[in-house]
Amino acid sequence: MLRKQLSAFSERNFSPCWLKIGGQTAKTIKNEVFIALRDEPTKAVRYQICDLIGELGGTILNIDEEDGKNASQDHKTWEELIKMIMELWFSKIDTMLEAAFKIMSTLFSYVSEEFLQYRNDFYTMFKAGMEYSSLEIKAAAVEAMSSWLEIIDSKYCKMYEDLIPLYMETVLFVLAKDEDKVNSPRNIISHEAFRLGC
Amino acid sequence: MSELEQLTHYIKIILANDNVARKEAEGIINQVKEKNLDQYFLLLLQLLRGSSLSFT
Repeated sequence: MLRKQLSAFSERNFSPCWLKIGGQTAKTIKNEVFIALRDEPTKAVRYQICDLIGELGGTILNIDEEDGKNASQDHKTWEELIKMIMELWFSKIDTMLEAAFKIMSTLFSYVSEEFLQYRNDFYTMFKAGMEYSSLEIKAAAVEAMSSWLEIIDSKYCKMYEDLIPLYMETVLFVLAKDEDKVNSPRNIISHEAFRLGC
Repeated sequence: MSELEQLTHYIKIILANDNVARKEAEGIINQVKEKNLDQYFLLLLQLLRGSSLSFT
């Protein structure tokens, strides 16, 4: 319910409320969703929180000047977002590593420019994620990398070229183990990754 | 019943199979939302966390 009502990317029958709430509430939501994620024991709910964070990030970073002219900084910026994602990554907790990739996967469907400065960090994360022993983390790393390669300009894809064999190997491994670990096996392979690999 | 308990109650009705009750619950939730949007979202957040956030 939170995601559907706050996100600008929900179905048409939901009117996004993000810019209608107060600045303090916006700030509270941005902080509390990460605490909720960290404390949530149920995988399915964690995935939903990851989607919420990713879509909310996309919503905030896509607010244009016209829409945001009366909004507070708390509505228009989420400077801590990448820091919080990195904190999940550095936590070394399997569920949080997976969550970091899940958030990135959703977030990168809506924004890229703002995160290009972290492309080297993402390279390290994708590689480490795909080399990880956990099937869930491997699958989440593949999804995040696919999402990233789909949205960035081709000139930036080149630096990920040497990850393609590992990417393909991980895709095959995940599919062989459990297709359900990845949202849509047919769509798992990023078109960009496929192009790079060819 | 606390506000959070009331919201939980109406959400449960929305998720159940009774269409008439669902419509009614949706109406009540919309009223709460219109009356105080911030509090509504803080309640949802509290529901998500399953803990106590203070409303200021």
